[in-house]
Amino acid sequence: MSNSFAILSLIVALPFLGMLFVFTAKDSKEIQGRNAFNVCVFTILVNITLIWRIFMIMNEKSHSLQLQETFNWLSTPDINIIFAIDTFSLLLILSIHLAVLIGVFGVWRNSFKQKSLMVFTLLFLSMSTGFFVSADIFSFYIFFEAMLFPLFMIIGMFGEVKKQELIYRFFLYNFLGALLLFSAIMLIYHYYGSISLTKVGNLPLKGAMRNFIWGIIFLSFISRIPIWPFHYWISSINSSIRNPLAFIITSLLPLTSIYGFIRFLPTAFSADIDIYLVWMNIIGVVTMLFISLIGFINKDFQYKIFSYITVYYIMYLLGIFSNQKVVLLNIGYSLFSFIMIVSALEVLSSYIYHKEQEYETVSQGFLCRTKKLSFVYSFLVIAAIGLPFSAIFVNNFLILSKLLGTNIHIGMLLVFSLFVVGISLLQELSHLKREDSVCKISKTDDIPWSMFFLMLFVIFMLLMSFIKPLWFVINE
Amino acid sequence: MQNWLILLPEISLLSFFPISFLVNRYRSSKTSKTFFTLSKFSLLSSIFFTLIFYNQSVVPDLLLNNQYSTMFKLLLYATALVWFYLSSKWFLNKNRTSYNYYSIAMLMVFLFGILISAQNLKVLLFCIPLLCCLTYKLILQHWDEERVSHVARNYLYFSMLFILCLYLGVLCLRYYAGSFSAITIKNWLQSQAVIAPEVYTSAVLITMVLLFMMSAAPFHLWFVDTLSLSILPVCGFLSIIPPLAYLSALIFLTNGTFLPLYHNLMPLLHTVAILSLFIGSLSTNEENNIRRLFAFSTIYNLGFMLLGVLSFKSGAIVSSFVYTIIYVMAMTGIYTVFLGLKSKGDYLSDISDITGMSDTRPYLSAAFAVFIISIIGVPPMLGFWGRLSLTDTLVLEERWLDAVLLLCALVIIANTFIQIIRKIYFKPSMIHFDRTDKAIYICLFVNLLLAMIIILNPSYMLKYAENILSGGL
Repeated sequence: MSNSFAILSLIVALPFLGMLFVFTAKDSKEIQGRNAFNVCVFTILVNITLIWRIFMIMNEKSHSLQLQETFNWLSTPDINIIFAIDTFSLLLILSIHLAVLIGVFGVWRNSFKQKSLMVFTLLFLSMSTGFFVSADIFSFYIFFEAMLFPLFMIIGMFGEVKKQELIYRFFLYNFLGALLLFSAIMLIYHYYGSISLTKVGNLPLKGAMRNFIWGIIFLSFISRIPIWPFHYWISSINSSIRNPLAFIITSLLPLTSIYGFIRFLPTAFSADIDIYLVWMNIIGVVTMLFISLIGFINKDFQYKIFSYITVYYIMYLLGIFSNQKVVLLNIGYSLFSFIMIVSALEVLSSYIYHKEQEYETVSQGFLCRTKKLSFVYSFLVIAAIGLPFSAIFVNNFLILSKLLGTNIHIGMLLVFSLFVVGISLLQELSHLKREDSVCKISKTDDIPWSMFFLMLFVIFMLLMSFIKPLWFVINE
Repeated sequence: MQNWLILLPEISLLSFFPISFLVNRYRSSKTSKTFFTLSKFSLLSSIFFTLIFYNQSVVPDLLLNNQYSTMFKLLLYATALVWFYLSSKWFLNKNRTSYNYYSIAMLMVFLFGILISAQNLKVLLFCIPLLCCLTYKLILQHWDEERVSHVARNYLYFSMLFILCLYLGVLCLRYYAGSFSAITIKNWLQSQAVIAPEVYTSAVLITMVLLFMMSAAPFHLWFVDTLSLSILPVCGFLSIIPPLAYLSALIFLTNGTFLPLYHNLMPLLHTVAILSLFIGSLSTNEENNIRRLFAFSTIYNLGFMLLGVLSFKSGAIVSSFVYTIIYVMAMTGIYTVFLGLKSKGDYLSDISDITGMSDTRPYLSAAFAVFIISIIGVPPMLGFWGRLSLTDTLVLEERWLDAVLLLCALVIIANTFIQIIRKIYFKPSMIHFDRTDKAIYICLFVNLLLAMIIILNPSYMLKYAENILSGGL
C-alpha cells in the first residue's frame, strides 16, 4: 500500500516543528515554562490523533510494511529514505507517544528549565518516531543514532544523576554502539546497496563477512539492552534518574534495540548461528535472574522498576530469538501495555518520592492516606505483575508458553525471574500500604484530579487492550 | 579590450586597495565598518564578475577560469564576505582600526583566487611566498604586538624553509620537464617509463609546502600557537578561508599535474592524513583553551579531507569537497558563537568561561552544540553527510584500515566535544556575559537554516558539484 499523502513524514516532522516552536516560545520566571509545556502537550496530542488515523487507513492484519513514502535523498552514495509501517511499529510509536505524554504530565509542576526539557523531549519523540517508521537501512541508522543526542541532554540536564562522569560515558558507549551499526550498514550498502529493512534478514551473506556483519549488528543492538556484560552504564544511569520524564525516555532506549533485532534478525537460522543463540539465551536468563534478585533486595523503588523493565525487555528479546512470527505480534501487544504501565508507575513513584523529600518523612503508609493514588497505584502494580488487567496477561502467557516449549530449563528460570520482579513490586506496594504513624502524609497530598484522570485514562486503555489489543481501530 | 574585461573579478578585488588607502588617509569620520563596507563591495562585484566570466581567461596558460575554479572562488569569496562582516563586529566592539586587517585579508583573498586558477607552477612561486608574508603580517595584527611576535617569527622561519623547498621542487621539475606548465609537466611525467628520484622528491616537496600552508600535521605547530594568541578575526580567517583555497590547489596538483606520481605521493598524503586525524583528535582532549582546541579540531578535519584527496579519484574528491563545505559552515558557526561570547568587553577563550553558558545564552549554546555535534557527524546534523560520504568512499575502495582509523578518531574527538557540551549545559553558570549583538544571532540563524536546507536535500547541491569536480580535473 503506497501513501499519496506523506502522513508518516508528518508524524516525524510534527514533533520537530513543535520543538522549534517550543524553542522560540516566551519564557520567564513567572511563566515557568507553561508555554513550552502547552505546546509540547498539544504537539503530542495532535500526533497521537494522526497515529490513530494511520491505524484506520492501514491494513492492521497485514504483516508487510505499508503506506510507503520514498524520498531521493542522495545520489552519491545512492540513498533513498523510505518510510513505511506495519501494525507492530505503529503500536510502538503510539505507546511511545502515550508514555511521553504521561511523563510530560509527571513533570507538570517542574520549574527547572522546563522549556529545555520540552525541547529535547520533542526532539527525542521526533527521532524515535522516525526510527520506527524507517523502512530502509540508512534511515533506520540515522534515527538510531539521532535519538542519542536528545537522550544525552535529557539525562544530563534533568536526570539528577549525581555522578556526572557516568552520563558522558553513557553517551560515548552508545555512540560507539551506533558506530558499529554504521560500519555494518556501510558494509551492507557496499555489497547490496541501500536495501529495504524487510530484505535485511534474507541477505545471502557467507563466511567471515557474514559473521562480522551480524556480529557488529548484534553488538550494537545489545549495547542498548542492560544485559551482561553491557549492563553497567545503562543500569547505573537508569537507576539513579529521579526525573520521571527522563526515566521514561531512558527506559525506551532498549526498545530501539528490541525493534532492531526484529528487523535485522535473519529469517532462517543456520546451525552455526543456533549455538550463539543458545549462549545468548543463557546469558539473558542469568542476567534476568541477577537483576530481579538485586531488585528484590534493593529498597530503592527506582531500582525495582528498573529491574522490572530489564527483566521484561530480556524476556521480549528471548521471545524474538525464538524467531516465530506469531510471538512477534504478541510481543507488540504486550510491549504496548508494558510501556504504559511502566510510565504511569514511574510518574506515581516519582510523585511519592518528591513528597517524601518535601516532608522529610518515610513513604511507609503513604497510600493509606491518599485514596486516589492508592487506587491507581495498586491497579498498575497488579497489571504490571501480569494479572488479567491488561494485554500483558494474555500475550506474556503466549510468549512464555513458546519459550517453555523451546527450552524448559531456560523457560523455568525466566518464569522465576518474572515472579521475583513481580514480588518486588508487590513488596513496595505493601510497604506503601502499611500504616505508619511517623508518616507525615495527609489527604491533601493525594495526586491532583488532573493526574488522577490521566491515570484513569491509562487504566481504561489497559483494560481495553486486555479485551482487544487494537480496540481503538475503526476500519473504514 | 575584451581580454581586459575578463580581468574584472580581479580588478574588483584590487580596487579595494587604492580606495581604502584614500579613505584611511583622508576621511576623518571612518570607522571599522567603513573598511568592511569597502571589502563588501569589492567582494560582491568580484562574485558577480566571476559568475559572468566563469569560463574565460586572459592567460589560460597561467590562470584558467573554468567551472571548477569558479565554484571554489565563489565559495571563497562568499565565506570571506561573511567572515569580514562578523570581523567588523569585533573591531566595532574593541574600537580599533580595521584598515590593516582588511587590507591584508583582502590581498590574501585575491591571492587565493589566483592560486585556485593556477595552471602553471610559476603562479605557485609567486603566490605562496606572498601568502606566507601576508600570514605573518596577519598574525602580527594584535594591539599587543609583543604577545604574538614570537609566534609570528616562528611562522616566518618555518615558512622560509618551506618556500625554499617550493623553489627547489619547482625548479627541479622545470629542469627535468622543461616547462613550468602543469599540463606539460603532467604529459612529460606520463611519457616517462622510469621517473627519476629527483622528480618525485620535487613533487613531494611541492605537496609538502601546500600541506604546511594548510597546517596539516606534522606541520601544524604554528597554526595552533597562532590561533591561541591572535585576535579573533585573524583566528577565524585562518581557520575558515585558507583550507578552501589550499584544498583546491592540492586537488589540482595531486589529481592533475602529479597524477602519474600517484604511488610516490600516496604515502606522504596518507601519513599526513592519519597524523592529522590523530594528532588533531587526541590533542583536543588535553586542551583548556577553546581556540587551541578548535585549532586542533581543524587539524583533525584536515585529516578527514585529506583521506578523500589521497584516493586520487573524482568520487573521493567530491566526498572531500562535501566535507570541506560542511567544515567551513560549522567553523563559521563556531567562530560566530565566539564573537557573541564576551564578558566585560573581553572575548572569552578558556573552556571554563563557557561553563553553564546555556543558562544565560540559550540560543548561542544551542547553536554551538549543533555545530560541534555536526563536526562529529551525528545525524541529523549536516556533518553526518560528510562522514557518510567519506566513509562510503573508503568502503568503496576497500580501504578498511583507513575507515577503522577514521571512526576511532571520531570517537576520540566526540569525547572532547561531549565534555564541552556537558560543561555548557550540565554545570551552573559562572560568568556574566555582555549583551550579544543581534547580527550574531542573525548570522547563526542563516547558517543553521542553510544547513537544514542542505541536509533535507543534499542531492540538489551535490549534482552540480559532482559534475564540476569531475569535469575540472
